[in-house]
Amino acid sequence: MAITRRTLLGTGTAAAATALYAPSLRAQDPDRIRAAFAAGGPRKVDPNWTTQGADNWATEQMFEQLVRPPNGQFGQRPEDFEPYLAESWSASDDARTWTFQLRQGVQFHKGYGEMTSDDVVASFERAMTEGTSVSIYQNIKSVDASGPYEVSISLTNPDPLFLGAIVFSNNVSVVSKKALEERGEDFQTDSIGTGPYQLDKFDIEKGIYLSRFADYWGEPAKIEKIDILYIADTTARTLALMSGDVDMIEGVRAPGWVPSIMAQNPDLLFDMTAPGSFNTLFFNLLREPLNNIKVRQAIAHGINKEEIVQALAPMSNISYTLNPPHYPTGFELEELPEELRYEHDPDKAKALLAEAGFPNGFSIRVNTSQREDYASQHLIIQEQLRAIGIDIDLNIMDHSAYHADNRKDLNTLPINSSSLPPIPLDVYNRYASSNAEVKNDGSGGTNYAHYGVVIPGVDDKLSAMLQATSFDDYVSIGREVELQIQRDLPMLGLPTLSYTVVRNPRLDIGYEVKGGYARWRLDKATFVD
Amino acid sequence: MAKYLAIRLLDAMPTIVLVLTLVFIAMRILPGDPALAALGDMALPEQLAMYRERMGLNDPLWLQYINFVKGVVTLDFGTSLITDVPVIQLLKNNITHTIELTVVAVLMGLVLGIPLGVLAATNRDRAPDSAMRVYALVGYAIPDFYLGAILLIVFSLNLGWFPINGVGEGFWDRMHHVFLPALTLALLKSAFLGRLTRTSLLEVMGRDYIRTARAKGARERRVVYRHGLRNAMLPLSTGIGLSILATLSGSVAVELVFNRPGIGRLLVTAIHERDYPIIQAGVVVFAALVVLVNLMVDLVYALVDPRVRVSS
Amino acid sequence: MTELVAVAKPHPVEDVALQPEPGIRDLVAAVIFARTSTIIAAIVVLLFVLVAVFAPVLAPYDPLKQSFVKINQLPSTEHWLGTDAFGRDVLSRMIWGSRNSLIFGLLSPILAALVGGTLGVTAGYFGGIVDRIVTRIIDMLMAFPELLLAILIAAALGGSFWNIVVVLTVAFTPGFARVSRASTLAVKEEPYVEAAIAAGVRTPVILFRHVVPNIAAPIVALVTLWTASAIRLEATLSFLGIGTRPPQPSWGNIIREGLNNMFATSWPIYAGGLAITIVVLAISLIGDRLRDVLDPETGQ
Repeated sequence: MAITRRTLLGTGTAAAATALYAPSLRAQDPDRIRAAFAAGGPRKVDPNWTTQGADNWATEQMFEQLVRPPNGQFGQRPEDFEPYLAESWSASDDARTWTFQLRQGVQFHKGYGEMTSDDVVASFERAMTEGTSVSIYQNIKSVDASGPYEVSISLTNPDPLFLGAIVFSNNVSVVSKKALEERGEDFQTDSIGTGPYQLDKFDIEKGIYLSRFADYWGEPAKIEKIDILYIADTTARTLALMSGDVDMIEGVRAPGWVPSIMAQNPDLLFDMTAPGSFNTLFFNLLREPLNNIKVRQAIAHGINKEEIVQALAPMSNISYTLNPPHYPTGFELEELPEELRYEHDPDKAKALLAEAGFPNGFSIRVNTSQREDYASQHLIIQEQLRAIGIDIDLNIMDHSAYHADNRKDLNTLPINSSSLPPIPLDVYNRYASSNAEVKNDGSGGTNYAHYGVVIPGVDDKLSAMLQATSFDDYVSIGREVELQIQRDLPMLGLPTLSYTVVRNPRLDIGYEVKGGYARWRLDKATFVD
Repeated sequence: MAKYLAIRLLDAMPTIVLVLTLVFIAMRILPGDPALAALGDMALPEQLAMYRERMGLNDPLWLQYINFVKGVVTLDFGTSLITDVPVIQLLKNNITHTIELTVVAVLMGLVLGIPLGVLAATNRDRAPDSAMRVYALVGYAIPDFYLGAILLIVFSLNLGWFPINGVGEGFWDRMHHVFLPALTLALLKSAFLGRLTRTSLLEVMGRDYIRTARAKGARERRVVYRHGLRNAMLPLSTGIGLSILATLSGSVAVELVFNRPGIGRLLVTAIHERDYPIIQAGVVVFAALVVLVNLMVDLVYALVDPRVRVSS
Repeated sequence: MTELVAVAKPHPVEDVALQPEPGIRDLVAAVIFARTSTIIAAIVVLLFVLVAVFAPVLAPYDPLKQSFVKINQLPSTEHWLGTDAFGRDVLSRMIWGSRNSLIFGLLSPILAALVGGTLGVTAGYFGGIVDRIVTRIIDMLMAFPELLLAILIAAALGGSFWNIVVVLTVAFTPGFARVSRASTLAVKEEPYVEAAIAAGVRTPVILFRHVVPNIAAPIVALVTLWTASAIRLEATLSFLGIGTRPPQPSWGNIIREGLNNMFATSWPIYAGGLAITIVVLAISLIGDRLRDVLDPETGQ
């Protein structure tokens, strides 16, 4: 393994000395995976209460839902989902009632017995009343155990995307009712599921330690132990990987990071979810001169998305509309009408600005966060817009201060980055619905543009989506929403950023990671050295 | 003696109270929303409101202050706004690491510094003395985080002789982990301690009892160590006290460089994340440590030099 | 920094009154021109100051301008120190960064000297309850290592330019107050001062005519010593992320960003570290010599 001279002190002696010892990714325990992730929020190991990536990695190994997409992807269409804790299922014609036949003989960890419909009902009911995402489950009218191994769920409004939007979500992972009752609040830090790994130790400062569950209903995991470690500092995480202290880490989404560690060790492997996070640029329609459509169009033409993709390569993928091209309501470039493509065209941008009354451009103050992905995007855009005469006075703030101010309607051109599943209505409800309008006391939502309030929006179309009974109807209305947003331009989709995991080549995941949430199963993983 | 101790302790109280109050006020002026920081960007408004309520962030300022004071007195610092872990637990977990680092660093510094100082004093104005001077100046000039970064890159990353993160388990493993961070601090402190040793020793060596010892025919080595150094310990101990304090504050940056858990790193991270309970607790702990060290130094002085006791 | 001063004054309670000191001009001659090492040090400091002053002219590029096609380049003829993670020219950032790093170094001790000097002189001259209160506060603050004090205040105020100046000034004021108080006490005992008081000369006149010139020398010594300290302190605060905030460059945050980016290029780390080391070393050399001249006993 080659060490490039840049990592040394540059002196001849140092080079000679270190040539004697190459820190090859040192061999570790052959039966233990060590993984390090960023960690910041409240730390829990209960899938109904997790708020951060590292904990979600743990719950991904410990818990399961009724259905799941194949490993390494999102399920985009209802047909994509595979049976897990449910062996089969059916939906009524109006997509309002769903019935699941449960798998029999599924055991809970640590002797908590067999899973029955009571456990499933308990798991759903608790997510509907408490936890991190109660509002998502408001559409469920009731969950009933219609037999020891059968569960029926009835919804208020039809939902052709029920499997992807509701059933395959963390909060309704199936947990042991008995353990819930016994442990009460302690369940949040000592939980019981049905997955291939069970909890050994939860150290609130160091991380979560898992070991193989021998009585798993499916094929037992190959590697016996998994250590999920909290390392918030990006440099520390990188060092841990490079020194062989851990086998895989959550990557750093800053320009040049991937090339720099590849230069250090070309053998490293990268797992990336595409598209990853949505990055959306909002135009605050309450601020001059952003309320002028020509100004917004000028900015859209002034931004060079290909350049952003290149700067953040290989983690970045282009997006032309709010939803990226891979997603059901997203558009490829050719599918968009000419005038809605907003291709990079500085001359056109300047002409539009002149038409809008700004022949010499204008200046505007914008807040950004110091977190590497936010700062990078805002900095790149600042430079691109400088070329068309728009002078952005960029104020780099602490990450928490940035979001607090955005939520109080204090920003002009905020960017929001969020890992969103292919549930278009969910995205629109967050960003484009007038109900989600941001308010200056912080009590509002994340519709930073005030879309639907300052100018007419898409609320009526969103209601229609809510009533769609088939997936195809749902998607076709969704695409109309997408086009209207593209026309009105309250927000602009920026290139997406993949969630990236870098791993030691000795660890083989067992499948290819293409998409999905920022977590995946390690039960098929093996060491290949 | 006990009276002296009591007086000094009482003296220390106003300092701590002042510092705490200042920080409490200042923290509330800071921008940023801990609720958002804790729950994430996509948190819904109801979740944020619930969180703020639970954490008492909506209470009037004076009420928060009273709760805060109550908390400090009963050693209940609340829970972290971000991770919901009880602060006292975080403090307990982390203070051992910082104290370990400080103690090892000071010991290393003494082991390195005192002999160097003796060498310089006994070779006054000759080569070792000038070398000592240069060492002291350079040692002061190099930023501790810079030296730490270089040691980390060379010895941990490239040579692999030392582990990268963390503190280790079990005595020898912990020593292995603390070695480089402590060395970083020790190299810099040894310069100061060495200089101090030299100065105090020279001052002492000119005294009468030294001349007497020499006249009686004692071996030079014995003169230096038995009589000279022993009496130089008095001013030296204040210097050691200062050194401990300097090491304590230096540990903040070093903990960051080596990604080593400790009170310093806890505090700096909490500052970035607006985690008030941790910031307040961290300040209390540092203020208390500072007062404690100063107190210990005063005590040593009082124990050794009766004049001080009488005069106050 | 309390370390270097404390060698001469070990215990807070026992303050030693200084003798009235020689004038400034003699001081400079004795300190700087007497040894080659200090002459070189003075030249080095002067060079850095000139670089800071003429930064706009000397820096080859805009220190804030990024270019994502040029990130993490190693030194070349176009970029003598290479580029950083945002494609910015490291040399230009170092040059502009010297402004931030050096300004705090010079500005804060001078401000602290003014504030602390006033406090100390007032306390020393008027005595009584004013003296007791001031001494109390000084002792309380001096018990704290400057870095900790600085972190706490910087955390409270945030990292803008003037806030850092305030932080550093507050950190250094107690030292100045103590020394000027001690000097004032000494001067007050002098026969000509007692005579002036007896003759009914007004207080402000006495203060300015007799007291201030006599405490000038130790104050200047302290300013020099504290300058080195201030530069280090600002660097550490910037490194911790609570001093000068990016994208504004300062040697401390250049090292920080370099550390986060160390696998790509380590030149920012070396450049920042060496700059701080060299400047602080040079100033310390001068300050050290200054102390030798003023207080020969402890120097020998």
